[in-house]
Amino acid sequence: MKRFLTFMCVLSLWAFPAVAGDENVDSFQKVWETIRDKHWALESTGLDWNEVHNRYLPLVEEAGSKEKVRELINQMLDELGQSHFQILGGDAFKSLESLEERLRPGSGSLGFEVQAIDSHLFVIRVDEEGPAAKAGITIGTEIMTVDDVPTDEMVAKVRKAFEQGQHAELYINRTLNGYLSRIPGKEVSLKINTPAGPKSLSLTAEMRKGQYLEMPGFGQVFFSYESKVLPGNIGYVRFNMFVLEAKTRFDKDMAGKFADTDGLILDLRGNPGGLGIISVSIANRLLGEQTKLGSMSNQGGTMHFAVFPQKPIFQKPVAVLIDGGSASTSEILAGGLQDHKRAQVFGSTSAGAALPSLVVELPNGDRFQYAMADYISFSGNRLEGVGVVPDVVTPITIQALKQKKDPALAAASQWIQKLNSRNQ
Amino acid sequence: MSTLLLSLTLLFFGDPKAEKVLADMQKASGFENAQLDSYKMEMKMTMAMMGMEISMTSYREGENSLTKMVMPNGMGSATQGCAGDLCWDANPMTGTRRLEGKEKDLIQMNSYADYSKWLESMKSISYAGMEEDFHVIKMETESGAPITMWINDKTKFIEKMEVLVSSPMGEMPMSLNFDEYKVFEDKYHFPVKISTSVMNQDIVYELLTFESNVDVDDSLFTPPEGI
Repeated sequence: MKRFLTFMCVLSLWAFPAVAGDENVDSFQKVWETIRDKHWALESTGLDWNEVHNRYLPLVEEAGSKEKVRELINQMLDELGQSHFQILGGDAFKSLESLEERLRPGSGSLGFEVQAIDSHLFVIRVDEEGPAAKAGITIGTEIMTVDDVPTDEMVAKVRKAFEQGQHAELYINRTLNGYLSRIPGKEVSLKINTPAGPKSLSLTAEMRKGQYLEMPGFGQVFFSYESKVLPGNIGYVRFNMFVLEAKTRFDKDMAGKFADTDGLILDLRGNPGGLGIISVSIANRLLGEQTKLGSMSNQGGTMHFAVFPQKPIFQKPVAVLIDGGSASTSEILAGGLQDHKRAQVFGSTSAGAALPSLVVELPNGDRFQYAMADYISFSGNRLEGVGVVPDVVTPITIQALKQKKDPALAAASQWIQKLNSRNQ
Repeated sequence: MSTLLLSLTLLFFGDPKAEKVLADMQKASGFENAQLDSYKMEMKMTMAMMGMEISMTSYREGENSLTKMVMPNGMGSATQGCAGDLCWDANPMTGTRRLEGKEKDLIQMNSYADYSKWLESMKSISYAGMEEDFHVIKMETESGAPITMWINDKTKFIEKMEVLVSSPMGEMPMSLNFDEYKVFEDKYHFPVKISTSVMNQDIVYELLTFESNVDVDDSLFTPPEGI
């Protein structure tokens, strides 16, 4: 159970014992020293880090409670003016434990993905051949209860746990989707909202379509890859993680089913990232000149995400789809292709979580997340905390969902078709 | 098949102190007047933070060299090689490309088992004094990559090297520590542990085997298509 939470968001924060004051001071000290030793360019922040220490230490010593110390450390980290530096309190996550007990998530899938809009939970994607599609669930279906747990309660608890942290929407939606997974073969009861009123149905979770891969630094990961040719002779590819297999399959498709297509849609929605180098290995097939997507720097130097074109280079229009679940390597690729004007980006702003970061436990039980490097895109922009802003914003709204449409996909298809008809 | 006659006498022009230190290093390492037609080395590269181990096999014959790296978990393999002056990198992620400039200099340097042989390609070399028990030698490759070596005055072995790795992937300073010297074939002394850090990621190379004058299939050094 606990392993599930860890997987969900690297924030395995539960039940901490009461702590003595010294542990709070030690926690403050550990955070301050980590920044001093690991930050890639502390002097460029304009802060005198020793002065910061001297200013906060007396306040921490007098604080008296873990909550106050957490507030003070976060205040100190805010002075850096950079994202991915934060203290994550354990207490807010305790309420999620009871949700997990009631929902018992697993590794199987019900064949759909959801997103929270206000206090409601809506289906935003449906597997064409999955259990949900067979039961009549479509894009825009509102889920009201899951195994008798009201979804507004789920949304409220998950929001409360994550709303104070950075990249809140990313973690909220990732966690909610995690709660809708089940052990394959397990039956789940849902209540959905229909024009005729609430309707109960039951779905049986299936093994997810894809494969489990061992990935260095990540352990075992689930990988799925989908590619097809859409009406209008447009290639469409979507994978859930940047692993070598994604590059292998992409290369095969570029030489095979996409070779004679009139455009390509690269769907990075919900893709949390993976191996950074895979972003350039995909870009190698789309960009005709040696260049870079961006650069990552830390105390160890600067590493460019260098693109070395690999023939054949795909020459037709490329659209990239992103949303708040597109993070890290997804943002590096989407932002790089956008910077080079090689792709038009559709959807909603990405997570703004491009930096590699670590989460470590502090002596008082809180968690400290810190970035290990800085990332600057090809055009010189920091994606961190900002994200990739689409060229064409197609937000997921209740209105759009009620039309059972995928607005980003529709807009991207239209753009490619229009561009091709203009060029003919 | 050409023969590598490893002699320092022709290598340096100008800094007798550096020449003396390097000649001592060559002698202590067992390469003085050594006759190496070819060799094969097997190494293991460990990137602990990534939980990744890569097995590496290097071949050299005359002026040709090749290093093959096999990555774990079906991630494929990569090669870096030189056929004379033509050097390349081929891996499944960035494709195949020709190496030039500083990047090529360093690949050529890495392919020598006898690191005193590195010095043949240096544009400049100078003795920079003593730091505790170490002679400090500063060098610059033909394309201008700066290298500093620390050579132990007592053992005559190289124990530390700093190099600025420059490539289209960026500029990354590397500091390498050479530890645990062992004797191979009753003659050649190699550090079996080389530790370094790239972008704050620790990397450890372990030398597992060394065989001199082995038969090497010449086709190994054929440059890949497109180079």
